[in-house]
Amino acid sequence: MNEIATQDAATIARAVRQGQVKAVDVVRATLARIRVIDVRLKCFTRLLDDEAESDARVVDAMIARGEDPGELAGVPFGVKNLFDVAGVTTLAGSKILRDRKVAQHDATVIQRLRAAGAILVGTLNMDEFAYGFSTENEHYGVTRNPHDPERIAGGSSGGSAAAVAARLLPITLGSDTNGSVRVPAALCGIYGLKPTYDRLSRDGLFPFVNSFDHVGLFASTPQDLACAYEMMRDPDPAAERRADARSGRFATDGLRVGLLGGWFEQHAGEGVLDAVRKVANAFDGAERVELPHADLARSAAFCITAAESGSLHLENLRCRPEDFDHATRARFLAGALLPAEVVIKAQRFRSWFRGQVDAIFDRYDILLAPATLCSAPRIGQQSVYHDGAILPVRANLGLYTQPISFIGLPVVSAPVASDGGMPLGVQIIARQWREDIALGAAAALARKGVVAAKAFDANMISTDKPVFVEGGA
Amino acid sequence: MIALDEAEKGAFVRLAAKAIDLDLRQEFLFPVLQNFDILATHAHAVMAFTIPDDARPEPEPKS
Repeated sequence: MNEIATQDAATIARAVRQGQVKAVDVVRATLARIRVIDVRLKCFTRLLDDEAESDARVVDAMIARGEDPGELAGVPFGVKNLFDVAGVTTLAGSKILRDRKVAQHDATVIQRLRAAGAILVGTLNMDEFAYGFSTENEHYGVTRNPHDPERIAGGSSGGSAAAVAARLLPITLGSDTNGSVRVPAALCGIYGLKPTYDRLSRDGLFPFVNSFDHVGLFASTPQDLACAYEMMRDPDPAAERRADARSGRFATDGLRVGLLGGWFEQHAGEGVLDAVRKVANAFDGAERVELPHADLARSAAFCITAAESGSLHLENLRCRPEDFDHATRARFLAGALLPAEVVIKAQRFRSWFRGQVDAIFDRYDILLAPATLCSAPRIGQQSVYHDGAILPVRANLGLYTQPISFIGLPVVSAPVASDGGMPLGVQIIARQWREDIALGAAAALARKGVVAAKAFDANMISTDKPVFVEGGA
Repeated sequence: MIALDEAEKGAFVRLAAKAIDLDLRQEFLFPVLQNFDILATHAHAVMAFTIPDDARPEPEPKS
């Protein structure tokens, strides 16, 4: 029975729908496995045992009556703890929100997954208020990387990514403002999808930066990613697009592919560049292309992020600054002090930059870029050394993701093996509203064996092994 | 970019905090200054770029 708990969503749903296994048994096996493994990883901030078992019984009852419980029947999932879950206080990784009332309703995307038969089993750890790339949370602990627990899982949706990477859950939800799905997906060796800005409802999502916040998701196969995404999105009149991503209509030799150079090569380790080249080589005739002023896109994203989020938290910064994580507090305070002229100019630049990139998509179906400049750093590690330069590691984990979310393009982060053993990610970027192309390309690459989720080895998190912590929480 | 010494930066940050009714505690000042320094570098790069005249401000984001 425990084996079913480590399967992908498609396998679980098929078994439940065909009556080979009961949803309640899937949920029990999943929760039992989480209780053993998460002691070490700290992906979860809350388990919803009773609610999950009750929901699973509803699915089993529907099957017994011959009704269709949905495409994700009996599939357990978890959500970053900034999504509203009815009856649970939405924490957003903070201490400050602990004394808020419980949410009255589930976030819209949770309602939709539940309507498809999926079972919510818990909430997941994150950086405080989603402002970070490491999930080293002062209040709820450090989420460890399942492939090496001495390393970070990435963030800010670190609990969501690590839970999928450790095969604790087949599907999890996160949010991506500057890279918070793509960075942890890459560092944990799984698939992550950041859809087009405003594609998935943000109703019931605690905000970080309204201009850039996206609901995103994680899975260990591109098919699961596509299926869960389709269950959450608004109905699309172009029904054929929904089918394309999973049916594999896209082939690697049918796409016009641009390999991003310039900014997207600077500071990257050779292993990272090799990984992107390996993916590019799977396509016929991939061409090198540059996004004009991608460096400024990152700078503008940096400024808007700091200013909007600082403004959002201003009242608590005035009244109870000591209750913030020390690193988050300093970022919010600095952002709150930024002159308005900078934010206005950054938004104007955003409009211009979007036009430049749209024109590039007249020539290409997808663009490829690294997700991060390196594989997962050690917990507490402050800097990376590359090419004669020492770079602060945390701020720079979003180096290649920020220019893309800045203009809201859909991206799949696809996992690639590296020589060093720790996984890397490649961003597959499509034009606005064409998630189907990015998902289809990821599926085509997976069929060729170019990208694949890294297998989880439970021995890696054996409690016999010492855990290295350098200045971590 | 205009060069400021640490005391000048501290004075500017305190004044900006006062404008938004923020009492910036002494123990928070150094990390805020560090972050503001990084932000100022990014802001300066954005402000120095000349956007063609046809670029318009973004509409208000949807809630």
